[in-house]
Amino acid sequence: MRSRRGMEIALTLFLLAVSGVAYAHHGTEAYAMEKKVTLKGVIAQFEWTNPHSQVHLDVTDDKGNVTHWNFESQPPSILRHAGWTKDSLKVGDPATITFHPVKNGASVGILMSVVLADGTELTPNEK
Amino acid sequence: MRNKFVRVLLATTATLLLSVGVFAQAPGGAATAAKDLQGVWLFGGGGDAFDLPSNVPFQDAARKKFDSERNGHGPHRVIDFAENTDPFITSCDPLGVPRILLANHPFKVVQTPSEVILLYERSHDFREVYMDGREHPKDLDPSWWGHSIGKWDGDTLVIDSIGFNDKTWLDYQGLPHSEALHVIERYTRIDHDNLRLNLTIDDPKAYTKSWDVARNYKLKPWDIGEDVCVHANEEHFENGVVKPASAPAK
Repeated sequence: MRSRRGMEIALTLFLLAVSGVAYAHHGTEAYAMEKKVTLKGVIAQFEWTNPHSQVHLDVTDDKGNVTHWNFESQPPSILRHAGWTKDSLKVGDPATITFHPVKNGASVGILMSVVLADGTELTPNEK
Repeated sequence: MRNKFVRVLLATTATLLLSVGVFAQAPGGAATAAKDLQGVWLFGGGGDAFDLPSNVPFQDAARKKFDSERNGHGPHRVIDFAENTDPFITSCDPLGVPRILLANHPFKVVQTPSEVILLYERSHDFREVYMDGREHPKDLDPSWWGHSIGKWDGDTLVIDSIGFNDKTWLDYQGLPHSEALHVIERYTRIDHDNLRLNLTIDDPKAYTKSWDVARNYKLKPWDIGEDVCVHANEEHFENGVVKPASAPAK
């Protein structure tokens, strides 16, 4: 049991290391890579582009205030191997996004996953 | 006795079928001959693909240059593009050799009788490796990709490259080099799905001795995509992500 837990921890560390590598082109210095945040909102824009695709999410709080978030992800050449297409996200789609936030408190993050209303999950990781 | 014969026959048949199956997986229908490296390869673990070791044998000038560099990776990290000195980020300069070998994008090997062609998804660049027995020209003009000649050492493809300009970095953290850079790549297909690169970097004007690095690549059933560096795209990413991310904390 203990060794299985050890394997799980080792696997988690490995995946974190791999995700760090995957984003190392422009660097991850701006991000709190040890933090993970999840927000629900609607897709405001999906930019399928180099050097990093960008997913924009509008999040409405209890008082009706809307915050516009921008998440960087991988370029199309990498996301297509993770099952994404240019049409994966459409403006107005309800979505739940999990991300590493930036350290300075801006509404920016590195995308870890998007879950759509039908349960479809998209991640930047190769399938 | 008869049962034993049937078991041996079944085992032999299964082995033969499996062998045929393995060879049938080769890209383009080609058999996996020892000297066939053709296919699409992606970095597949065995160390951080983006960087060469930082404990390299610097000469003083190279150490000072390395210490002056700033980018999003390595020991001298910055967020703001305005402080970034990476020529690939600031100018979309070609990555050159060996930095292109460290990208997290696949490359494709194409072999002809007279040359090996390496097609890189990152920057959509290519290299020609002449396999016709020629030597390096004596009067090479320094260039981004240098001049490459190759030969087989047993089942290992050995690529010898010189003639580089000094404008590229060796890796993503900013290791510099001079025009005396000499790169030797040794590619060995250790099995159907795995390619081993043993890389030797020799630059007598920047480092006190040559040094070796190993990297592993996995065969992928992919086409090469287009991943080009375009100024307008970089600026858009800078405005949408980098500037807000590097602003003073709220």
